[in-house]
Amino acid sequence: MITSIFNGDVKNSNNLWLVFFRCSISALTLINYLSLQFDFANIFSADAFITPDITNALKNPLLPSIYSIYRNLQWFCNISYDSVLMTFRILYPLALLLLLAGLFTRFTALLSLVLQLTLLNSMDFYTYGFDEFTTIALFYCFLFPVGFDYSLDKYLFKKQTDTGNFYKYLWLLRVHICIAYFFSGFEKMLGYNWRNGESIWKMIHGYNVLSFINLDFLYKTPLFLIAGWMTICIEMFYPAFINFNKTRSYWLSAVISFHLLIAFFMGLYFFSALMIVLNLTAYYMPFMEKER
Amino acid sequence: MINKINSAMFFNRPASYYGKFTGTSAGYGFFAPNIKSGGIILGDCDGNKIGASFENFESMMRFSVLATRVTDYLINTADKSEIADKPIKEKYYDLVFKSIAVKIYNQNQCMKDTSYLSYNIFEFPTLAAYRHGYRNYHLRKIKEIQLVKQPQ
Repeated sequence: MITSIFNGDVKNSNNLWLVFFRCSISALTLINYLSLQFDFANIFSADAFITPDITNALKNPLLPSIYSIYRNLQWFCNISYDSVLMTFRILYPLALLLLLAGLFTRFTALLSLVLQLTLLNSMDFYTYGFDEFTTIALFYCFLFPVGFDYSLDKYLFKKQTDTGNFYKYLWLLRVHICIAYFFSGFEKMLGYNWRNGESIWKMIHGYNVLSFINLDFLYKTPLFLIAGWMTICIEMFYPAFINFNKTRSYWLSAVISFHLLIAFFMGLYFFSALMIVLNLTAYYMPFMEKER
Repeated sequence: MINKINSAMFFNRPASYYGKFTGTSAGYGFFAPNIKSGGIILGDCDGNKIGASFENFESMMRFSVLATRVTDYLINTADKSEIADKPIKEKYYDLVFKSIAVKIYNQNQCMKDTSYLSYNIFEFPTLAAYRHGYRNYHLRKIKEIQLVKQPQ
């Protein structure tokens, strides 16, 4: 049993999960970035809600921000902030497009990661869970051989990759996802309001973007209590049940349904989509051929 | 002792870089241990309520993240954010408030010389209170700033 967790169904699994991972992560990140284009100036420009110099004061000192790059470039040339911003605006989607196509995959994955971190450092007040998981996913796109197949790298450079030893990457991704779910559930369990249904009640009132769905009439039922406990259980027991063959499909269905509900009630469409992609990559794609 | 080992192992420069680049430094306790109250930023221009406007749902959602973060700072007295020095932090957030206020007034083309911007929390009865018959929903103002146009 333990062996099956650590070695998995190596003989039965395929490696298309790497291709799926690369394409879905780059596409989703690109769509998310493109969705911000309509309000790009409101977030990043000198005329933004929080101006770049103010945002820059709280930036992570380990990484540059667009504003800090602009300030440093001032030493060498007389470049405007708008020009630096425009360079990022074009470069980031271009890097993601190349990653999607699988051209110079490792380099474009690293470039995407660095540009994403710089952008996040320039919009710190606006970041949420989606951005953190995008960083994780882009890092794995750089680390894993995601361009081994269905990529321009393969067709242009006729690269031959040894595909026999890819399970270690899958194992690493699974461990990370399991840790994330476990601690998410564990921290919720520490919160009293998750255990008495109040958090679910608060969520559907404070974050319910589809406010035409009113669930107030269910206040006498134990629905909110059950939903709170189900959230804790699904997340906390995720590492145990998702890794056993007999319960994997049930837990995967439960987690995907859970994220669909988050998207529906909280409007976190991109976050939910990203989590579903990570789950499908780790626990559905490697088994696809076998189940077919 | 444990704190010393902890800081020696994880709070050094290489570990910070590793955490940042791999995303492993991110906390995973989403909406935990409790869900934060959603903040709402509202402007007042000659008695009319005005707010930030966006072209896209995702940007609007990210602005609500900003509003919640700023509101959380205002209501969270035990705040442990990046700036340890409290007076500097207050000055910093004052700059943030003013920056947001100016943008909202410009966006709404507010021509008044004196305007107001408030940070509010949408309050609704808890599940327990609702079961006892409370039905009051209201906005609670937690901070208001006045914006006065300086003569040119």
